[in-house]
Amino acid sequence: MTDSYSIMLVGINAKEAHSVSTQLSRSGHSVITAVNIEEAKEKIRTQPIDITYLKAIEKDNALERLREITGINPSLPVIIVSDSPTENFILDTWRAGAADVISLPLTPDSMSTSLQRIAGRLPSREKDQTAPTAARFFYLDETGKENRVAITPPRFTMGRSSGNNLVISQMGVSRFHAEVSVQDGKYLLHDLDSKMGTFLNGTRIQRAPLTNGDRVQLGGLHGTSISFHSGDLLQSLLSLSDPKAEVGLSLYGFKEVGKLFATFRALSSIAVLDDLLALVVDTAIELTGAERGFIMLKEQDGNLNFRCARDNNKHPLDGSCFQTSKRVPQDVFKTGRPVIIKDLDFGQTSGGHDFTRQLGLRSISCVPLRYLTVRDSFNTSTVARTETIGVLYVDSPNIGAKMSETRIDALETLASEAAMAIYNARLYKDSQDKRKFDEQLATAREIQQALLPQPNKNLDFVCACSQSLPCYSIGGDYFDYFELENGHFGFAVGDVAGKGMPAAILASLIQGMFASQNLLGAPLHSIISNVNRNLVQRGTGNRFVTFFFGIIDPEGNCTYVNAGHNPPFLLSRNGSMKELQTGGMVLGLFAEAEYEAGTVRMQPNDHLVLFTDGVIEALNADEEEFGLPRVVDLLQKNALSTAEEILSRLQDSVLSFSAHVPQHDDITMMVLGYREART
Amino acid sequence: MKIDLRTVGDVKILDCRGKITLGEGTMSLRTTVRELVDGGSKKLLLNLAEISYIDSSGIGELVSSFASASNREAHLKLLKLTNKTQQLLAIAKLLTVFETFENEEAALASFQ
Repeated sequence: MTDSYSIMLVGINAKEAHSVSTQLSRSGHSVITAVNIEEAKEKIRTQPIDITYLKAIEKDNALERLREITGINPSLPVIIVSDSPTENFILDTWRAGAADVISLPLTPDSMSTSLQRIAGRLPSREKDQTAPTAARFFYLDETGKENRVAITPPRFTMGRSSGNNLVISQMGVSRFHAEVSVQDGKYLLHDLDSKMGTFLNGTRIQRAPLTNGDRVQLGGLHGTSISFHSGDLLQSLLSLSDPKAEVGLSLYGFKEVGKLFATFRALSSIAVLDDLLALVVDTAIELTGAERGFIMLKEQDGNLNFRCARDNNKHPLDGSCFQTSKRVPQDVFKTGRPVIIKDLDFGQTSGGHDFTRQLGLRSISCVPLRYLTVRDSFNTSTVARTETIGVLYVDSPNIGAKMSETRIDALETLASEAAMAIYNARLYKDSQDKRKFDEQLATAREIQQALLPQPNKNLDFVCACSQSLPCYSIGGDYFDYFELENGHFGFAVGDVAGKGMPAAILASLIQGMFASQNLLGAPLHSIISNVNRNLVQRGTGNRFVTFFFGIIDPEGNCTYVNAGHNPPFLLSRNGSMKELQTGGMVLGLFAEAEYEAGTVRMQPNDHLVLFTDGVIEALNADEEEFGLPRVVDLLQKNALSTAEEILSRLQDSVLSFSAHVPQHDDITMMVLGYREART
Repeated sequence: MKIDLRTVGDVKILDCRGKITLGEGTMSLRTTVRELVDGGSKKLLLNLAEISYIDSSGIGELVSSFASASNREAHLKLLKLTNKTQQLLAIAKLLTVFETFENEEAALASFQ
């Protein structure tokens, strides 16, 4: 839903193409048109196109045209737009590789529904941009300590200023010296017009791709040497432990390296948080020879909570058995510094830990889980900072003799990789949740569309057409038609304050209430009063509804109630206009509100024009409203047009007025033409 | 929207500035009114003179602020409606719901 596509319309008539492309470009898609198949083929060869809509009529060599297009790019989804396609035709186009078949006319609505269907099958854009393999720089900091930093897309900057991802405070290095960006899954190094230059493997460069093992120097050949490593972290570490390398990490224990190696591999592939936590705890226990361990994570309220506790047989433990040794993790979380206690009976750990010692614990290792976050690095007000998301803890009743420096290093390395993986797993879960929500939303939209009547309705004496464009997938506007038992024609337009899901739910409720009230045959004003009372009783949280309901009889008498709705216009053939205002206040606020009905007489070829405030309040790029005067002007000029023409001109006018501005409210309009019954 | 709060006697005057639309400042209006009412204020006056833009969702916010005040036996009145606000309230036929005033002294006097 968030993806935007480049869409080609082939052979669609100009009017339809215009209204459709206005709507599509508002949704962030780009639209190109091709008049005929030759132009289409040319454009497929020369331009990036994600989806093609091909108008093709059955008798008109439709399949041949389809094959001509798929012949050029077999993976391009082609949707056949056809005039009342037969079942056989649809089957044939499917066999010939069409992605879908929809029927003419092409409306913004049919288009967006079809697009949603197709988009579900297209590879997601985000995945499409080949994600680069993880990469990192190794460098020595001012104190001469070896360090590494993960290269975070989309832009990773280096320089003297604290706003950089990698800060190098050293002579010859400019404030923003160089940048690494990602293109087609590859890392590129750019010099940011630095004074002293950026060097790659000894050569000064402006812009060059980075490959594994490359040496980058900022500010001259004597400057800090940074080495670039992509791919698996452990592989980088192993290659760096080569004594010839300029920078190395003191990680030698073969077994630890092997264990970490396997764990890191797995970390990147586990998306489920609980599985990931279990693996991290198991690895930590094994690395340190501890008996049991756990992870605590920061919850939304900022407190630490047990998330995963395990013993050295890889069995889950109940978090409660750790309750008494909470002090250490809290300290580590607060200070961000690891606490390694090798033997509680000796040395520095007197006092404070007495209670812990009474528990029979002799050694404890607890390290923070943290990762580096950086926001927009060119905005100098933001600075990179580490985010501590929890702690990793292991303990043992044995004296921590096994806890060599190497193992502590390994534990810290594990913790920092784990923090990143936990962060990613949470992102993944969020995106899964969002996907689920989007699916539900799509279903809600289908239901809502199904609840609305067919937009066009023709009776002997009235011809009605409507259009509703929700601002989001679903909306709070609604319209309905009713053929009453006495042969009269009822129509309604409603607008729930607000938009999106909450408004849509309420709109459906009103539609249902109203449809059932309408069957009772009560007078118009008491129907409205009943609906109002019903709404107030249900306490819909101060949301109100504007509502217009009218009934036209075959003689052209229109009885109506306007409940706080933008007054519809009665448009006469001579261009004169009358606002229909009689009624009462908006629905849903005050139970005792009273309503009265008004009547107007329609002459043959007079029109009633109804709309919601989304029409009047449509904004253009300068934040001007479309406004009532534009509506009035347009209607007067179209007094002699048909209902459908008036509707489509009003819609085109509003949509082109607000082209390139995201729609900010639901837009609904209805036009009814009265004609003398033929009988 | 920005709200500055003044107190004159036992009347809280909320000087509103900026836009009242859905999602833009409307929460702050509702929240401010609720907090005042929760704090025991019974007399609220919304000064809308500096409102640059209001749409129908904004009207909804005025109404829901009014309703939540009324439910707690507090009075919420409107001061210096802009033309647009007046129009929208008229369309929704809600003008009669609110007590509205053109000048502050008259509004304050009406509370006594």
